[in-house]
Amino acid sequence: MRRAAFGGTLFLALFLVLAFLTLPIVAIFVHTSPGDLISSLGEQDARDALRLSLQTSLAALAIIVVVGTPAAYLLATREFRGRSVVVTLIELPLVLPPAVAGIALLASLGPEGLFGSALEGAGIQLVLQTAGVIVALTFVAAPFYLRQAQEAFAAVDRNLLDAARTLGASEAGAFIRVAVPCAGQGITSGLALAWGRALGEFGATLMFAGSFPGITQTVPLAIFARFSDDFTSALALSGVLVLASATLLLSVKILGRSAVLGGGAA
Amino acid sequence: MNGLEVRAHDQLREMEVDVELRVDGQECAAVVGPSGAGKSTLLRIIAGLRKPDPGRVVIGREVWLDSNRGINLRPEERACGFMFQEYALFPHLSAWRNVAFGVPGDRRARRRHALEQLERFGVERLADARPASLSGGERQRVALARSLARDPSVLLLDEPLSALDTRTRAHAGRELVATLRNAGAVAIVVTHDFSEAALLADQIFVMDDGRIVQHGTAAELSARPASAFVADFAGSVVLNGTARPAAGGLTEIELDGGGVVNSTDLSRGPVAALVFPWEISLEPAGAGHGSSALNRLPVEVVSVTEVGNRVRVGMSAPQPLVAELTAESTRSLGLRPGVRVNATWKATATRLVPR
Repeated sequence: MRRAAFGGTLFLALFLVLAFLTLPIVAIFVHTSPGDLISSLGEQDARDALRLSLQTSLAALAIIVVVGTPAAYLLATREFRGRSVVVTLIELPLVLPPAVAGIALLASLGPEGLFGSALEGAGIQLVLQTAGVIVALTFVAAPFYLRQAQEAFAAVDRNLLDAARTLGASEAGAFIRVAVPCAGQGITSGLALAWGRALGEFGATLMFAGSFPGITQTVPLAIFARFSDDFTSALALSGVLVLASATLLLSVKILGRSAVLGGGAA
Repeated sequence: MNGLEVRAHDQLREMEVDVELRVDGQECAAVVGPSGAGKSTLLRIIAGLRKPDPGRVVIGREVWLDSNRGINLRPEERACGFMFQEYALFPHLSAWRNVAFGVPGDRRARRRHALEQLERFGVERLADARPASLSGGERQRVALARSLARDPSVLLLDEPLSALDTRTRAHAGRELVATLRNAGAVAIVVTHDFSEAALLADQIFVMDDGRIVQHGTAAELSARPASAFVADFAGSVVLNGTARPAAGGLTEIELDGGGVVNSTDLSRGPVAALVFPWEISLEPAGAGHGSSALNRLPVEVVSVTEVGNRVRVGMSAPQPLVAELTAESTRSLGLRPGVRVNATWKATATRLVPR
C-alpha cells in the first residue's frame, strides 16, 4: 500500500516536471498555425535573423571545438600547479548573468575597453558587427563545451592512451585516434549544450553587438524586437527557433551515437 | 647477444623504485611481488611511459634510455609490445583494427596481417567483434595478438592471467608459455603469483618495496630464499623466532609466541625458520615420539582445503602453519577445524634465514 503511494508520488513529480517544461513550448505552437510559421519566414528580417543565428552560432562552435578540444584534453590529462584555478576560471562564465557578460566584453574588447585601442590598431571592429556576435556567443557557450569535453577526456582509461603509444602512435596520434573517439559521447553532448546556449544567447549579444537587422540581430534579438508591437510575428519566429534548435540537438545526438564519433569505425 | 638490461631509479610519491636487472636473449623473466611493489612502474620505465632518474634501458645493442648520455627514445620509437593488466583494448575498434592499430600499410595489408595474428591465437573468427562482446579469454588473446603485431624485441606483460576466471586461467597459462617461447622476444611478465611466475618464466625476480630482493630460477628461490619474504612468496611456511647454537651442531629456535624447533642450518639472533608444507606431517596429539623428526609442535587445525589430489591443512601453533597431506591421511586423522594434533618435520628440512 505504502509502496504504491510512493510510486504514485514519483509519477506525479515527473508529470509536474514534464507539464511545466513542455506546456509553454506547446503553447507557442497552439497560437501559431503552420501557415504563420511559413509566412513569418517570408519576411526578409526574419530570414536574415535565422541565417545570422545559424552562421554566428556555427562560427562560434567551430572556434570552440578547434581551440577548446585540445585545451580540455590538457586539463583532463596533465597535472600541473594551479590546474584547479584554471578550471574554475574557465567555468566562471557559466554562472555570469548575461548582462554581466555583455559589460565584461565591452570593458575588455569594446572601443573604450582594455584591448580596444589594440584591436582598433589592428583594424578589427567587434562592437555592432557580426564578428562581435560571434565573440559574445563564443564567450558564453565555450564553458559548456570545455566542461563536458574535459570530463569525457578524464574518463578515458589512461592505459588506452599508453597502449596507443606502445603501438607506435605519437602523443598527437593517441589523442586523435584513441582519446577523441573514446570521449566522443561526452564531446558531442558538450557540443549540443554549447550550440543550444549559443542559439539562445540574448543579453550579452544585445549589449556587446547591438540589435541591427542583418548584421547583429540574431533570432532571439529579432523576437525581442517584435514582441511589443507584433506578438503574432514574435510567436511565429519563436516557433521557428524551437524547431531549428530541436532539429540541431537531435542531429547532434544522432551523430554522437553513429559511426562518426564515439560509435567508432569498425 | 640480445639481452635486456635495465637500471632505473625513480622516486614515486609513495616509494622509491631502485632496480637493476638483466635478462638474456629470448628468455622469459618474471617479476613477482606484492601489489604496490613497483612492478608495473618497472614495465612502464622499460616501455618509455615513465622516465626514471637516472636510468638505463638497453636491448641488445640498442640504447632506449641512457640518462647520462641524454638518450630517451619515445614509447613509439621502442620496439616494445605491452600487454596491459586489463588488456586496454580500444573499445571503439573491432578486434582486427585493435591488432592492426600499429601496423603500417593500406587497409588490405593491415587487415591481412591482423587476421594472421588473430589466427595464431585461434580467434580470427572474432576479427569484426568489438572488445565489449568478447569473453575474458578472447580479450586476452586479442591483446596478445596486438602486442606481438609489430614484431617487438621486448614483450612486457602486466598480470596477463589475473583478469581471467580460474577455469580459463590454467589453460591460458599453458598457451602463454608456448607463445612466450616462440615470440622471438625478451619477455617480462609481471605477476603477484609465484606459481604463475614459476610456470611462465625461466628466471624470476622477486620485487618488494621498489627493489629486487632476489633473483633465480623458481627452484633456486624455493630452496634457498634469501629472506623470509621470498620464502613466504615461494610457498614456504615461515616461522619467526630467535636462534641460538645447541648441542650436536644444531641450532635451536625459540619461536615468537611459544614453541621450540631445531635446524641443521647455523644461525644466531632473530631468524625466520622455513619449511615446505609437504615436509610437514601430522600425528594425533599425545602420540609417542615414534618418528625420527626432531621438530614437534602442538597445533590446532584452522582450515582444511582440498587442492587437486592434495589437502592443505591450515594450523595455528600459535604462528600460522600449513601442511600438505593426502586426502587419505586427512581422513584417518579426522582433521577438521578445532582438532588438536602435533605437526612434525625434520631439522634438516628447516632452513634458516636472518631477519
